Amino acid sequence: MNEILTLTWKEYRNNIHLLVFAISVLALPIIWATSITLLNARPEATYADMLAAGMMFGSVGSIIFSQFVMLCLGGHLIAGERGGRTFEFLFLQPVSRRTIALSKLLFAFVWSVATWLLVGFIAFCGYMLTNQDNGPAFDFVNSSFFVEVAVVGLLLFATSWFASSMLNNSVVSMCAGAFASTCVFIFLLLVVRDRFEPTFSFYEYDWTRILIMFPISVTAIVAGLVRFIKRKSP
Amino acid sequence: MSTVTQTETIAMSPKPMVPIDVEINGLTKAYGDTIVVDNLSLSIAKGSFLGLIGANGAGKSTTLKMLAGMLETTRGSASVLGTPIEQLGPKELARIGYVPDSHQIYRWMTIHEAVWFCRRLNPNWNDNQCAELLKLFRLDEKKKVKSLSKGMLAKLGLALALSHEPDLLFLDEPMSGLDPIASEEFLDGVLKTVSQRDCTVILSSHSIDDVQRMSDSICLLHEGKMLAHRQTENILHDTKCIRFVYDGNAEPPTLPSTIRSRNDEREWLITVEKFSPLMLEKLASSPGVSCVSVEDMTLEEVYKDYVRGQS
Amino acid sequence: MKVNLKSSKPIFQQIVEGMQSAIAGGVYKAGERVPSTRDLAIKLKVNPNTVQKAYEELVRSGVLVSMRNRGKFVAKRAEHSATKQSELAIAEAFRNGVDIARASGLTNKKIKELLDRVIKASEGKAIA
Repeated sequence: MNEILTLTWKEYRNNIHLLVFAISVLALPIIWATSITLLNARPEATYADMLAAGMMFGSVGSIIFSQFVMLCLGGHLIAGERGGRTFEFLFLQPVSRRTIALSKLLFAFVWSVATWLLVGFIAFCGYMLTNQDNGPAFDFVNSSFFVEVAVVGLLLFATSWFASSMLNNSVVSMCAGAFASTCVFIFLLLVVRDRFEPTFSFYEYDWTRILIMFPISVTAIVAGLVRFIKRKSP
Repeated sequence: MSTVTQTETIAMSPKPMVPIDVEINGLTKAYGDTIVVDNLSLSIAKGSFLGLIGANGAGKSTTLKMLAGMLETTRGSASVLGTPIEQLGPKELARIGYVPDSHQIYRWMTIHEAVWFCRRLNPNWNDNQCAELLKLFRLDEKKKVKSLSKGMLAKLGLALALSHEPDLLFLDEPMSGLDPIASEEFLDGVLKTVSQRDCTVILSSHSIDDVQRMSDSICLLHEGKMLAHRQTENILHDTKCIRFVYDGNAEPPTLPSTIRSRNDEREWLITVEKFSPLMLEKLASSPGVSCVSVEDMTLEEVYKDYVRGQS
Repeated sequence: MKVNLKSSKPIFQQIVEGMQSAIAGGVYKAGERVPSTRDLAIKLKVNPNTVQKAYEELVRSGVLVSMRNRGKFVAKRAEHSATKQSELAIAEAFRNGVDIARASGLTNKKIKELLDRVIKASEGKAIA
C-alpha cells in the first residue's frame, strides 16, 4: 500500500503539467461566465442570467476538453515515461510491474472521476442559475449525456492507454487512441443508428452504447496492463 | 592467425566453494539479424569485482541490462543471486544496485525527493549510508535533478544505488564523460562501500586504467563476443609481446596461444596469451630467427591486440 | 606508495613490495599499525580484495602480524626481513636490465661498466 501511494504521488508529480492544463481548461467556463457578467453584454438580462449563460456555454467546451485530456492522460502514462527514459530508473526499484501499473491506473481513476464531477458541477451551476422564464435550460447532470461523457472518456483513455503500452511516443499513442476510438464511434453509429431517431430522449439513457463501449474499454485497459507487465524492456 | 573466443574458467578466489553470484550461460541478444551479445558465458563469484572492457557497441550495456532484468534475452540463460533473470522480482531487485551511463531520474525531483522516493520503495534502505554518501559527493538536497551536471547526476545515481545496501552492483560506464576529479570521487564512493561489505561488482568502462585498478578479473568484449576472461593479476604477467627478426623464405615459426601477429619487413611482433621462457628458447633455435626479445605490455595494448587479432 | 599500471607486475605484488620498502625505509616502525585494507584501497584506488591479498602475503612472509579485530601490525624485526625482501625486488629489477643488455649482445664486462656509470650518474643527481 505504501508503495502504491508513493508511486501514485510520483504519477501526480510527473503529470502535473497535464493537470494544470486540464484545470485551467475546465476553469474556462467560470472565467467566461464571470467576464460576460462583468462586461454585461446584454443590458436587459440579469447578472444571474449572464452567469448561467456563460456557465452553460462554457461547460460544452469543458466537456469536450475533458475528453481530450483523458486521451492525453492515457497516451502519456506509459509511453511518456518510456520516451523520457525514466522507466529505467523506475524499473530498478524493487516494486513489481503490477504495482507500477496499478498505481498508474489508480491515479488515472482518481483524476478522471474528479474531472467528471467537476464538469458536472459546472454544468449544474449553470442550470441552477438559469432563470427558467428565459427559456428551457438543459439539465446536463440529470441527462443521459452525463453518463455518456464518462463512458466516452473511459473509452478514449482505454484505447490510448493500450496504444501507449505498445508504442514509445506519447503523441503517437494519443493519435492511435483517438483513431481507435473513432473507429468504435463509427461502428456504434452504424449499429445503433436507429436509436438516433428524433424520438431519442435526452433523459433516458440508451444502454446499448454502454454495452458496447464499456467492455471494449475494460478489455483495452486489461490488455494494456498485461502488455505492460509482460514487456521487459523499458 | 586469429584465436577462437577463449573462455577460461578461473577460480576467482583462493577459497574453494565460493558461492557464485552471477552465472551466465550462452547468453545471446539479437535485434533482428544484428547480434549484440553473442553466446556469452561467464561466472562471477560472490564478493569479486569484474571489469568489462569493450568499445562502444561491444555489448556491455546490453549484457548488464539483461542481467538486471530490463531486457529480454534472445537465447541462453543467466542467473543473478541464484534467481534466473526471467524471474527477477522485487525481492531480488532490492539486492541489486545499478548505475547506468546516463541516469534518467525524474527531472522534476529534488535530490531530497529522489532519496525519499527510493527510500519508500526499498525495504532495506540505509539512511546513514545515504547521508554519508551525499555528504561525500557534496550533493545539496535542495537541488533539482534537472539542474545537476553529468558528474553530479552520476554520483546521485551511485548514492541511490548504494544506499539500499546491494549485494550486487552493476556500474554501466558510470564514469564516461566525467571530469577526472568527479570520476575519482565516484570511485572513492564505490570503494568505500565495497570495502565495507561483501559486494559483487561488475564495472563496464572504456577507461582501461580504472578497470585495471579495481577489478579482480577482466572480461574483454568485442562486437558481442567475449575475447578473453582473465584474472587481472595474471593478464599482464602472462600476456607478452615477443619481438624477433626473421630472415627466411618460408613463413616464420608460429607460437602457441598467439593472439596477434604482425610484421614490418623482417621484424616480427607476436603477442602471446600464455608466455613462457621455453617459447623463447624454442624460437631462438629456429632457423632464420635472431634478436629475440620479450616486451611487457600495458592492458590497453593487450586489449587492442585481442581486438585486432580478431580481424 | 603508488601503483604503476604500466608495469606487468601484478598490483598486489606492487603493494607487497611497496609495503616492504616502506617498512625498510622506516615509514612504518615495528609494532605500529599499518593502514586498514579499506583505507589503503581507497588511498591507492584499487580493489580492497587486492590489498587484502597483498596483506595476506605480507603476513605469510612474516613482515606483518595480524591481530584479530585490531588490524595488522608491523612485526618485530620486520625491518630486517623487509629489507631483505626489498633487496630481492631490487635484484629482480636489475635482472630485467641485465636481460635487456644481454639481448642487445652486451658482454658481462660491458654491463658492469654500464652499471657503474648508472650508479655514478645517480649519485651525482643525489648530490645536485
